[in-house]
Amino acid sequence: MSQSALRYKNDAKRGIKYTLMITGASGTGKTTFINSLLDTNLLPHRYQPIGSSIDEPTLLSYIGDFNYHSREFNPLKEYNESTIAITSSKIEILDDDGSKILLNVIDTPGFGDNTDNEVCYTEIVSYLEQQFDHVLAEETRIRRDPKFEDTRVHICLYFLEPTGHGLREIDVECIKKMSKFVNVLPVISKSDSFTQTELQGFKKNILYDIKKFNVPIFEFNYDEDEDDLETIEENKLLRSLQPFAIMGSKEKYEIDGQLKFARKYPWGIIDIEESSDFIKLKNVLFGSHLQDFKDLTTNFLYENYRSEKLSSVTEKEEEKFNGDVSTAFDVNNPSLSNLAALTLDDKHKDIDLDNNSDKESIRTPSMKSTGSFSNGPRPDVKTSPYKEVRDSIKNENESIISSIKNSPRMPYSPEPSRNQLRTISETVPYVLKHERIISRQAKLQELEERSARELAIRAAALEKKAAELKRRERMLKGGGFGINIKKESTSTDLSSIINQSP
Amino acid sequence: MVEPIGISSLPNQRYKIVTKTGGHLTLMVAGESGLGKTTFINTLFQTLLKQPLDNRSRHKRGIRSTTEIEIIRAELEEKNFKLRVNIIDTPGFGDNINNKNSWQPIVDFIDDQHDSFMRQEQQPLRHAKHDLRVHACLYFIRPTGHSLKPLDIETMKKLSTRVNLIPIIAKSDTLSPTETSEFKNRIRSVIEAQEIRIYTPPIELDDQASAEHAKQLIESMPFAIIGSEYEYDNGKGELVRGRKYPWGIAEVENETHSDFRKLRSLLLRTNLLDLILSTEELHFETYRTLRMENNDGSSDTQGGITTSRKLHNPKFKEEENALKKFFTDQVKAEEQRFRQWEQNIVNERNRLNADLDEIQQKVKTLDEQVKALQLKNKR
Repeated sequence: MSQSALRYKNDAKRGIKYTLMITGASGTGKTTFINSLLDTNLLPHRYQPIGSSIDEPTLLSYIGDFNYHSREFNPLKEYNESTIAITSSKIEILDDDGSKILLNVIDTPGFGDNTDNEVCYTEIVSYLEQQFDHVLAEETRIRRDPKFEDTRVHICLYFLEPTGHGLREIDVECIKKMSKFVNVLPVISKSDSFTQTELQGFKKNILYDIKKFNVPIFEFNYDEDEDDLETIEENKLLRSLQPFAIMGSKEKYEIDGQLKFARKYPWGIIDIEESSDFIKLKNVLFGSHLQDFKDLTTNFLYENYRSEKLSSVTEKEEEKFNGDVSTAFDVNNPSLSNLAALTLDDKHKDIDLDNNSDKESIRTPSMKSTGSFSNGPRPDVKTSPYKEVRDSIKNENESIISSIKNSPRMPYSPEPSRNQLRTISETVPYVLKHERIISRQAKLQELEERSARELAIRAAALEKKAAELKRRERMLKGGGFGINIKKESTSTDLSSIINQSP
Repeated sequence: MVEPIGISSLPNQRYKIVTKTGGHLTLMVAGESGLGKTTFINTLFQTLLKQPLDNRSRHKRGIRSTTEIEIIRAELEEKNFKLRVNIIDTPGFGDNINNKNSWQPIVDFIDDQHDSFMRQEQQPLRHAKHDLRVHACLYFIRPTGHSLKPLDIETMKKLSTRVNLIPIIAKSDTLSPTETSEFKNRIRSVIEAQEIRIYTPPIELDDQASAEHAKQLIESMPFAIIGSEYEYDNGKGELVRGRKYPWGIAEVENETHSDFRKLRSLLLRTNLLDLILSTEELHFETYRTLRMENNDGSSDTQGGITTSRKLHNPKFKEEENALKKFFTDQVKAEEQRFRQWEQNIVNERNRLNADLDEIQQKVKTLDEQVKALQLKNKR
């Protein structure tokens, strides 16, 4: 039995943790699809009162005054830029063979609703990155949190609007940005708006666009030599179907004596399982490719991210301490890149962690305060507390990094290196976290600076005008008198200079 | 029997004149791409007025597009009556990530037509007037089933003060009847709350039948429509326009399937004249009044206003700001680089100096050692 199969079995006993994300323009039937897929009311619909879904989703992050919990329809508020939120809902699914899947569905209500939709994908991408950071931070810690929950997203269903044309600008941008952190599987939603031929044309257009704009999506790859015939056949079929065309329904109707999810129109009833790729997608998501998605996320995407992140941290330090390049490449020297391996070796040695908790307690309040800043009302432009906070964080960060670097750089004595290691493992999570805060603060500050600059320019212009006016006024008043004064003053100046020079 | 004087035949005379000269209608379709605007136009006039964009040309244009204005002219004839139709399409609207001000070209176009018509009126010779004033604007709403987006609201607000606005729900074959009525209700309440003035057919109190019809039309706003360029056999041996799905044919002209007939009735059969007249009397007049007041009656700034409006286009302003920002950033980065260089050079010098000192020190000690050795040797 191969190792992955063994792991799968182990996982199955405890329940497989599986995170699914759904994005795409609102009104493309994401909620309906998920609810039909799971056959429950997991997610609440837009404008549905609280309590209509089995569990209220937890709000993970949001931008703007998105009031997720009062979903009532208010025609007056519709004009406001509704923004984007990221929510998570958890559910357990029991499979036929007794395995359990702990499914976490990440929803992104409000995506694509704004006039300027750039904020949507930046928010989603930063959420995805944050999950990677959490895992990275946890990995480098010496004493790991047994309750730590891996929230990395394994698969993202991207709902394309059924335009019949092709990909839109936002689709291309968003998928490109997201694919660094997650497997993206584009699906055509509301496929009941296409006739057979139109759907084929639309699929062709999308595939063409994907190729043309180099959009990285999840592909059903197979190995001619290694995989068995069945897998190859299956993947070939799935590949030919991509992007899957799906639809969902809120209602069940009786078809051939069975109660099934279906859509009822005056011109006919559609069984969503029969008339779309619904079943195939379900199989892919919860059966054939579940492990593939997980493996790809942890082994490929996350590893890439990790090596990139860690090497960027070390590079920064190397730049700063250019003097001792020769030692930096020393094998025994604990740099951040071989940190994980070192931590693994050192893990079993018991290390006093008291220091640690102290540090944490010191640092957390400062972070909290920054958090409240970003949510709080916009403070006065002139004081710019963002900058102070940012600088303080930056300084702190730098001091942490430099303390790592400065702390005994003696590769041949084991004792300090262990100490050093501890500091590293403590600090890396903080550095990562702080970097994130810094980047956010930088964004805010940039905005502020821009407005400040504008104000300054305007003020300068006004002042100039005032000076001009004053000058003119004096000219008018003084007439020739002013010139006399000027002459006098210049002459005295000259004479004083002459007097001084010898 | 007294012979009538002949006054009552006046309508007949008018009828003759009108049939000879023909009618004239300008229709605008606005809304995000992929909502079936082109298909709808072809469905409405039952001919292939406009070829749908094929994918190649779409790719040539690139994905980052701005709102464009396209005009299609056509002459339709029915029972010897000619109708000149101008269709104004707005491809590219709402296609981008940032759709701020993407409505500007549309609004500008409408204003420009009013402006040009006004100037033509002021000419001494004004027989051949070139009139492209938009009589009705169909705004296509995406069938999300939620409500209107901020972009829709903003655009509709801007349009509703300039033109007869008729909102329609596109591709309504993705919404079941209950979903459609829910969606319609939400849209209506948003339109009311946001004070968007949409076109409503006048209710003539002295004509029971037409009043009833107008009421029906008002009630079913915004119209949920389906468009199709093809005809299918509906099973009863009739050829109907519709969309053929594996689960049935959604018929365009079937009242239970879509509001297409109502919309056509509003646009062509009963309210065409009212649309034209209200454009003339209401929208054009408002524009004219505004312009005249602003101009103080002087006509020498004719070209001035259009150009100045173009300059104030917020899109350009944004671009300008972006460019400025880019420039300052670039300068900053360069400065930063130079500073870095300088720092590096200073560091290097210091290091070299230190090295030099060290070497001199060494030389000194060596010298002393040599001296010491020499002394020893001497001894």
